[in-house]
Amino acid sequence: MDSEKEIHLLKRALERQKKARIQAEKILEDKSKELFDTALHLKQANNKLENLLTETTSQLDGGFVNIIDPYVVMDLNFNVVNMNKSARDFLGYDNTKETISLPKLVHKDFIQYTIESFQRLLEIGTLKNYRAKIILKDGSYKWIQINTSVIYDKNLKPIGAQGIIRDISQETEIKELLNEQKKQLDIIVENSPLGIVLTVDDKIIKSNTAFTNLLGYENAVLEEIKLSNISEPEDVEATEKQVAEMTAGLLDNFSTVKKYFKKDGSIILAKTNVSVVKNDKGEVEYQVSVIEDITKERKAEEQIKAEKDKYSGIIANMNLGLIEITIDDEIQMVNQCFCSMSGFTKEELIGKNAVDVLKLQNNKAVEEKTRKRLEGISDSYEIKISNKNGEIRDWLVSGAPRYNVEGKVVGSIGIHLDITDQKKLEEQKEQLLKELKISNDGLQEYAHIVSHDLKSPLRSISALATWTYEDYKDVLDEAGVQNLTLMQEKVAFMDKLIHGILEYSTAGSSQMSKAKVDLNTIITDIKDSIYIPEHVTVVVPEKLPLLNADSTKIHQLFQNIIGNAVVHIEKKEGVVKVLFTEQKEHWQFCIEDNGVGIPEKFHKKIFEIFQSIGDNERSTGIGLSIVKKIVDRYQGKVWIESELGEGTKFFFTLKKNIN
Amino acid sequence: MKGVVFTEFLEMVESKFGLETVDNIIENSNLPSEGIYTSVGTYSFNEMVSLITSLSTEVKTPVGDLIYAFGLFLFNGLASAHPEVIKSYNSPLSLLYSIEDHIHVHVKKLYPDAELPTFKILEKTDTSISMVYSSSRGLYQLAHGLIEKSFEHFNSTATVTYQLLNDNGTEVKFDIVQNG
Repeated sequence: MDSEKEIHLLKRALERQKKARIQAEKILEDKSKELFDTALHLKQANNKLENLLTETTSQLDGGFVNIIDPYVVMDLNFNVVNMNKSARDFLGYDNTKETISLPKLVHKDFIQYTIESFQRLLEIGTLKNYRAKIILKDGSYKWIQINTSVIYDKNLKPIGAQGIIRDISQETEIKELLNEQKKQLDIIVENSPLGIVLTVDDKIIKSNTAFTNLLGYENAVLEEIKLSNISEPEDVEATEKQVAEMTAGLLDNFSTVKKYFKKDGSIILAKTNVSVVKNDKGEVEYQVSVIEDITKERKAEEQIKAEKDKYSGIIANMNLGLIEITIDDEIQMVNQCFCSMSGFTKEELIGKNAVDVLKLQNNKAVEEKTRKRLEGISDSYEIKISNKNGEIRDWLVSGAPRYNVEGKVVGSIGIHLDITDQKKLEEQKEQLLKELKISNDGLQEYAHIVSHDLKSPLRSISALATWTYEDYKDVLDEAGVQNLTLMQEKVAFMDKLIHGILEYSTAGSSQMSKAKVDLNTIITDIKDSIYIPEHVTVVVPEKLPLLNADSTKIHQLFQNIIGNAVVHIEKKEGVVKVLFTEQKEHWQFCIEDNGVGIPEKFHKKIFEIFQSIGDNERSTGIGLSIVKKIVDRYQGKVWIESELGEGTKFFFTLKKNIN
Repeated sequence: MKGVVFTEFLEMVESKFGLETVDNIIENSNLPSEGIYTSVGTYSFNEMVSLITSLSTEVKTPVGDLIYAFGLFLFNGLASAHPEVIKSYNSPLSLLYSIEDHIHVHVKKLYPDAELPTFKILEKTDTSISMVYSSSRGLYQLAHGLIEKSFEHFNSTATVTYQLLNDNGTEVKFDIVQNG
């Protein structure tokens, strides 16, 4: 490389170095200026801050001394080093006269909390909303709240703390009182048997347990819905009017009956009392509804009303006179029938003295009954009373005492039936019976007398006929003798007839004795005593029972039937059977023969007196009527089954036990 | 890029290849700064790229090797400019370990606008260190040279291996094991 070129090269390098130096100097100058400006700015800022700090400190100092709230400055052991007048007044201590250790004032329940709080204060530098109970010099308790901060020296070393005390006793007491009251109120509301709902513009804000239980909705669901969604007034028009008045501010509360729709779909009826709750400005804030389920009451009411209507209707329309009187005989109530029975109007009776208005004929007896009734005894009896027109009427009275709710007798109720007409009929009947007895007795006596009186001439005729035959049998021709014989026969028949009438008259009336009667013996006796033709036999295929009855009447009964049967058999071999079957309450007998039979038209007639079939001279027509009479007295029946030429079955029943 | 890097670079070129090479690469690189650099100034990184590229052409040596050589050279430059920094360490490993926390903190004090690479320490023992170089410049060979030279400064040697974590070399993992 030649030297010239090297010189150029060096020159260029030098040039670059110069320029680099100038550039560097320029940069340094700029940096220098920048540093100076920064330093100046910092100094100013520092001054400003120092002033601000001084001002604030002095302001704070003055402020704290003069502030109304108690203010204390304490050292790191929490002993008071300075306090304002308010603090002196509040705590009762004076730091210039005595040493005050703040932790010692704290109530023992708050010591642990206080230690923790003060430690935090020293760590963090501030303590907000420290709340505790303290004991003042005079021994009283106060609730206080302290906001405090640590004071540092210039080297940021803590040297103490300052704090403002606020007396929150009253606040705390009010809070506690409110809490207590709220708790009490909640207990009342939650335990109320009435549903309580708080609404704003129909929207449910709050409801108690009774309400949720009543409707079956959960609380959360209720608070989503409107009251009108689950209820409907019973009387829509009236309730709408009341709601409108309430909205207009004219009405503060009203009561209505509403239907509520339960969750399960059923409906309940509830008395609803709606009241408004207003705020200070008189604006409606809430509506309170108190709901009482009256479904059951309503049902019961309706039932009672229906019952009452029913009984009122019965009482008003019944054909019995009803009267209610007090202990003092004052008439309280009468029904329509009683008015027509007595002839008085309601107005003439109600409020009057029963004894004065209704003229009783047998007063003494009624007084006795009334006295008994007041003792609580009910009974019925007859009275005689003179009605408004002066007619004497017979009433049947059924009386019962009337009680009040305490169970004390307050009067009586009487039900009356006018029995005047029945009474008259009864009297007539008694009279008739009496007359009947007399005439019956007369008739029986008459029958007796007639029988006896008729029998004695008959005996005379029979004797005379006998004598005539005895004396003149040699001179009489055959026709004369036959006439005398016929006369004897007719007399015998006449005697039989009279005997029958006598029996008939006694069969229906005479006393019936009761004894063990062996029918087998009776049949044997009958067979011995009556006339039985040669070709007829009476048989008893089965042993007959023992009866508890009148032996004579039973004898009469069987004798009449058997006696009748044996003489009406024309067959070569006549058989009369005595049969029986036992029934529940009766014995049934059957006398069966194989005689001539009885035409059907006579089946009933033959039991009437003096009815005889054909012209059989041995039949008086009395026997079967006696049979009928005896069977009647034994409460039985008698009938026949017969076929002409084949025979007759004579049936009759006798009650086993008759009184 | 800080001016000190440019001044030290040109210093190296002058000492290794002569003043003529310095003049040539400045003249050939068409630099906005006209090649006038002061250590207290700040210049575009592109100028450094132009200068190294020109040098590589001029002396026919790969760019990577040149950057590595510059790293070796730069250590001495920096060490003589701020000897107190080096003195506070008694071993190369502790120096490397403190690049982020100590050396770069001091750099920032003097040059608040300096854009520095980061060295994230993965593992360190008494005789080894493992760290990740991370810089948008991708001058990991420069870092390699500085590391080698720091061991030399403390009269020690080390086996330095590195592994590119991406193609452009902006993230490179260094594993350094002190010898002896």
